[in-house]
Amino acid sequence: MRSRTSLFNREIFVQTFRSAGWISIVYLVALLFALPLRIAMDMTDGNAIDYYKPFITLFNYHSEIQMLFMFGVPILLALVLFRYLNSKQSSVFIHSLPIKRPALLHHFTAAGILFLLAPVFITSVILLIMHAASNAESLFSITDVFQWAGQTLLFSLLTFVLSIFVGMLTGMTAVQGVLTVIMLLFPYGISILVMVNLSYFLNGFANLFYMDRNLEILSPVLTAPVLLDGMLSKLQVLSYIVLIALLYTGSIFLYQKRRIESVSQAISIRGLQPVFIYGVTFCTMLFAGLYYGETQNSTSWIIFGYIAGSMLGYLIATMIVEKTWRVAGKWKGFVVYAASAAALLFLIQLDLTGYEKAVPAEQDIQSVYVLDNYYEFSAPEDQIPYKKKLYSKQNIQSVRALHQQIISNQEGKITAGHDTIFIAYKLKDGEHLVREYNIRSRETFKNELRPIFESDEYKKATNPIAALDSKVVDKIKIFSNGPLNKSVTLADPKDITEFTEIAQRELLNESYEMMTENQPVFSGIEFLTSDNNTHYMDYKTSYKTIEKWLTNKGEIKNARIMPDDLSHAIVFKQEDQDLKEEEDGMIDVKKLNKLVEQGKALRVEDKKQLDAILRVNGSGDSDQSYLVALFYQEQKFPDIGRIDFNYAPGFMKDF
Amino acid sequence: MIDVKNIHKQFDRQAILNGVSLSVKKGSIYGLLGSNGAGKTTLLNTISGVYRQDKGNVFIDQQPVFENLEIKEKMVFIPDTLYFFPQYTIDQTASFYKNMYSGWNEERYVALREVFGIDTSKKIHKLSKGMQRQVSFWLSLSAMPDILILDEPFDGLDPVMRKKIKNLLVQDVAEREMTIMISSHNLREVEDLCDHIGILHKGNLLLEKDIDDLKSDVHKVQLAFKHDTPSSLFSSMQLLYKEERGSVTLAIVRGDYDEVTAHFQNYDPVIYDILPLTLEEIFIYEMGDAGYAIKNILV
Repeated sequence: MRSRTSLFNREIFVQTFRSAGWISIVYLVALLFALPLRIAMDMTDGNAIDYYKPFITLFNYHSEIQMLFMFGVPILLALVLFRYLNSKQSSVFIHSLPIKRPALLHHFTAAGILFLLAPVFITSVILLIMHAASNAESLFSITDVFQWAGQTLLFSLLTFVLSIFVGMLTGMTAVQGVLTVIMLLFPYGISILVMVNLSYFLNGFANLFYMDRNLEILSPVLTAPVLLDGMLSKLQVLSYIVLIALLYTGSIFLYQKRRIESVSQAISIRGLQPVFIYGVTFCTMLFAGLYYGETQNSTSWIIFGYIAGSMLGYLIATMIVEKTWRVAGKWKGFVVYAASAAALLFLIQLDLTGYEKAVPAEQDIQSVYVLDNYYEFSAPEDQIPYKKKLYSKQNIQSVRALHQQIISNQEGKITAGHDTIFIAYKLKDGEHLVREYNIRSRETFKNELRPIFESDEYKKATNPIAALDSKVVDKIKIFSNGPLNKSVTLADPKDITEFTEIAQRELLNESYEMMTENQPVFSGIEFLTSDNNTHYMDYKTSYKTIEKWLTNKGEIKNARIMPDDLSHAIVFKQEDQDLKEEEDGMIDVKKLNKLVEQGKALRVEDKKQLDAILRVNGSGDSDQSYLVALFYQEQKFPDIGRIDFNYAPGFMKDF
Repeated sequence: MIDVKNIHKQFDRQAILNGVSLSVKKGSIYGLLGSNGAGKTTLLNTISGVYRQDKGNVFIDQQPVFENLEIKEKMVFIPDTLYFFPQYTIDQTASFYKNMYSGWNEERYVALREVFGIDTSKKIHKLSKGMQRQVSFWLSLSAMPDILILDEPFDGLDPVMRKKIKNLLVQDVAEREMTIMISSHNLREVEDLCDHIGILHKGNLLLEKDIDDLKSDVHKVQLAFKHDTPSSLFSSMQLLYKEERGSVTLAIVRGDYDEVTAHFQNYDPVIYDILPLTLEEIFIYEMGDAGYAIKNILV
């Protein structure tokens, strides 16, 4: 008699090859098409070879095919290999055989791994041969091949094992496929859902702050594009390996728990049926909440979304589990769910942890950010240079006062607000406390924002020019607005030092209103530094010391539009004119002149009045403003600007 | 050999088996009878180690069956709906069985080809239902199991093939003490084969009997006397049923054949016949009211 307990059953392998081997062959064909053939095309193309390594990784060759197969093949394999579990005849037959369930699982899994491995292995060998035998060196390296093979296998094994795990939970092949795809995205999706929904009910919850922490990492499918530009991190590789091991161990466990008779049930382990039903209910509830939260922005709509979403989810999940439309009698479970969900919402509203009221104590704060929104916070510092922390005691106090004022205003839940305020404290114990509030308008907190904005520290932190050392400035350029290409370039170190100082003084002297409101501007100023950076600031018409300095230098006429540059200007009100600005910004001059004749527009030729207009041009941005057409000397078409009613000089108000 | 102790099994909170106990001796052929939905298939699946019982135990050779390779290697289960791997020929399936069951007997496989006369290079799926059944017997018997579990095995077989297979089964039982459990909804189909019968009804085993005991213990007696029937005629007898047809008394009694004959001869009857009962009759008389409830099984 032969050994009865041989670990390896050849015939099961033969069977798996007969049933699923074709998938491996198709996979191989796809890989050969996507990589060696594609690369061979490049190699025979004389031009392409001129470029050294056109792609960073091998995943870029027919990446869409590679990605599709990397996830599709393992799922399909799991469905086909474990199909025997989901049909009554085959599962009774297989389980009556003298082979234990774990051994069955090992055999079918090993076969699947082999089917995944073989095409990748063969493709790699071919790539290595191509590399050795030809000029492929310039297209890819040997390391590239190994990295490609390793990472492809890692992703497909993870997907394969995940699909097996899901297969152990369900008794229907279709459900197995759908659930696997959902599970590939689930950890990411549920995190987003929970965070967005929390932000509706937890005042100040900075969901974007948490959502932006590379949450894609939670989903292999969303992580995969990383492969196009580089490699997975060591931590990712390690965590995927751990995950594969966990999922496989879980599969063995579930297989032993699984009831063979539960063939064709959506959830084959009865204890997990409520988990499935309530899980689906919870997700659809959050999803509907998110939908109405983002579209309607109102609490009652969100609550409606929760109720409708959870009912729908509960119904669908119950239908799937019970495999019938008639689930009306199963409402008790929903009542339990609704009560729990309401209790949860109530608990969040109670704010037992004091989350909403939390303002760190002054002595605990090391530094603080006050920004418009999370995006400013998240951008790297070299892109948004004004993202700097505030350390001064004064500002920390002011920020706390602002924060407390926002909390006591009870703003920021769900409002029609368009403004946001983002506050992040770095605490002395190394922790962060991050809040983002939706507010109706910044105006509401003007008094609290003013001391922060007007502080030198804030200005220096948020405007690099305010903190610039004039020694590093190579050059300063002033470009006037308008169609005339007027500019001044300061290159003399003494001029640069002087100008930088007065520009900084202007900035530091600015009031909160000047910083936040629309201001008329003469020109733009660029500071070119020795490290090849360019810093930009507006030359606001209110910067008197700059004007004085430029006048003394005799450069003022090159630094801004002067009244002499204009022949005349025509001022009119928006509502008067039937000559709307044309799309290209051109305006019908004849009609304009007609308006003047009719007395509906004011023609200005006086140089002083023209100067007054230039000083306020650009202050308006709404309907509450005059339009002004500036006619430059020897220019056919005028330049159109806006002047806010409040800024309008006296002679305009008369008209 | 097979000891089933108080097993319970539920599907979707619905009880299918309700504390079934039975035992099958080595070398016997046990017929499990029951109407549709009585739980026969579930019971056989549990005995074969496919399903796991919710409560109770299934022992074979004093060992629990579930996930027990040693036991399952000596046991073959032919379910009511057969399964073969798609696109497999008989030979390919045979080599799968050979690889699975260490007791596989190649000579027997070849020898049985004569009996069944089916081309072994044919794909099983292309065969008729009856031929597929034959293939399953062929392969199962070639695996030389100690225990053969058959769920409604004769469906779709013609009488000639039925006879042939029954002979093969009996031969294995006689030659190497194979144990067979066989389920059916029809007593007549298995009464010539089985030596033990169990009747399953709504998840309970109503009765379990040795057929030889039954047959030798219960007798149908016809009596007639010259004069009145003696009043003490059945006083010391275990009477199951009595009927008077004119002067003829028809009775069903339990007892040893010789003792019963001696007893009645004492009264010097004019007519005395002692006849064997069909199994069907025995069940009906034995089980009284319950017998009517399951009458359709016995037809």
